[in-house]
Amino acid sequence: MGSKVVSLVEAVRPIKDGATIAMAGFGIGSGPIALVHQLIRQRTKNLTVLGIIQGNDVDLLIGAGAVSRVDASGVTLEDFGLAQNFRRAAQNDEIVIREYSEASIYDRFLAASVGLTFWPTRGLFGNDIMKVNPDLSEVTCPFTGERYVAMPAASPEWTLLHAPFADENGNVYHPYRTDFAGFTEVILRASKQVIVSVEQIVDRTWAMSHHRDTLIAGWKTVAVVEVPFGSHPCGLGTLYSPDAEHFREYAQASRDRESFLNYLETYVYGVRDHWGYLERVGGMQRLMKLRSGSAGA
Amino acid sequence: MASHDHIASRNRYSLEELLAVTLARDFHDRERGFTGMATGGRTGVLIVGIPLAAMALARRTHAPNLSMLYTGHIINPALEDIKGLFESGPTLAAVRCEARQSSADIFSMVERGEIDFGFSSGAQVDQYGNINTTVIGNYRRPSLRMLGAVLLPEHFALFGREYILMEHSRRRFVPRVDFISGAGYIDGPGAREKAGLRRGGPRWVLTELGVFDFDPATCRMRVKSLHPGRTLAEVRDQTGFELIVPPQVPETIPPTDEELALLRHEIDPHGVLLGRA
Repeated sequence: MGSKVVSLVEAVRPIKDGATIAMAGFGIGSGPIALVHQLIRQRTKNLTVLGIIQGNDVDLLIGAGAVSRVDASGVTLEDFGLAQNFRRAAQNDEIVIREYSEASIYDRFLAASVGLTFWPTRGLFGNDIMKVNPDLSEVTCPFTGERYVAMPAASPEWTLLHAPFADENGNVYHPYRTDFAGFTEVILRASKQVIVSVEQIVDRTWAMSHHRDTLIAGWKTVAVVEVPFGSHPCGLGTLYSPDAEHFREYAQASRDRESFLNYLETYVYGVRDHWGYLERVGGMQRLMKLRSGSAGA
Repeated sequence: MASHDHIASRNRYSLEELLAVTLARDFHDRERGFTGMATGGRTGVLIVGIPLAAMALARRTHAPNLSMLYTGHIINPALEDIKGLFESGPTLAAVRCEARQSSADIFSMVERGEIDFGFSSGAQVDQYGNINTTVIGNYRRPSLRMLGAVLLPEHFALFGREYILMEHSRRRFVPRVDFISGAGYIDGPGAREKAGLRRGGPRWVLTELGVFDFDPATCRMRVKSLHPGRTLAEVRDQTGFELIVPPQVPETIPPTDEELALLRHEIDPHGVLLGRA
């Protein structure tokens, strides 16, 4: 197997306008933000984004005009408030939103993860999601006659993942994962191809002695790129914390379109690459503070 | 929401303490209670902090085998390890607990109907106990888009029962929610069954003014008790629909000294859960 290690630019280049993608992470935790920034830099448009509960990952893409449709049960900046680009795009009818509940959209990934084309649920009965989502269809169990709502399987063409370590074959290791990794795991299994960024690319010797920390084997990995603090301003598992100060700046900047475009200019378009971004957000001395305290193994 | 400063000094208690003991008394031994993650300051106290304190109080009094599922993943946490109610990163991972379970385990319990009760809040609740966290206004062109339904559909469809904790205002207590993100009694008797729901639904709505339940005959919201010092006039003034009012409306039973001591000295010594921090 040849090495899958590429540059950040090369890693996301295959994602074309109109692609269906997912981003590993939950809410504002562990988002693949360096990959998202690069997707914005290459000006990809009309993406369909599949997620469970998403955060600034989807909100960034919406704010950059890259998204035409979102399937999710929620988009939120958690303690930093509403996801403002998502809010504005929905209010202006600029994106299509397919509403789901958290368990039902999890089940859509679960269906794809075991090669099925749909999944039945009881969780949506009585809910207005049934009225506004045209992809739902009521079915009857052929064995018991019970009523269910059938949902289409969710299989992203590409999933973007940021993790602590990967080897050049695309095996991903995550010794710092938290309870929320379960959401990532089902999305990865449902995906056709996975693009992985990591804090550090590890060699075979390291991999051979850390195999118990495997998050996912490298079968579907098509690219591996090394980008330290590649989840910033999200935290990454227990390795580093979210950058609360930057999130407050993001939340403030995204309140209107004009100031968000300035934000993108400052932190995405106006930096030469990910290294430029890390300097722009305060540099390594400041970033390493996010790794102190309760973070770490 | 103001504290109940008018209460005699020996037995002075806060609204959050009153809600916690009221909830605790409604839980049964061996039940499983679920708290999610909250967005926004006050909501965290209402649907995570107060519920955790209430479940811990029940465990220390009449329900020693009740299980708390904090964020669903964390089973019976050491509450003193909880530093804030909105955490999702390393600090949450550091909370000590009896056991942890994966997302797949959580959804298994949810969809198999193995969760007895949960807690929720929203921008709107209506007279049938439907709740809205999705949009204000018309769905296609809303005046406010909010986060979405998240796990609320399951809370109201698959849990055994749901407690709604809200701030009480005319803006929030509306005749009909703009979007049903969690289905209460929908539009009246028989509607849940007709829609395909087989169990669960809202049990109580708890606010700074009182506790409200649902009239079995009409499925409409009813005054169950008023908090000490609160009046029906106040409640009517802050509610955008007509409540069912029984001939006799009791006072919400205040916390005992023993309950207050447990809450303050053992369960929430740092005031993180009950909003004193």
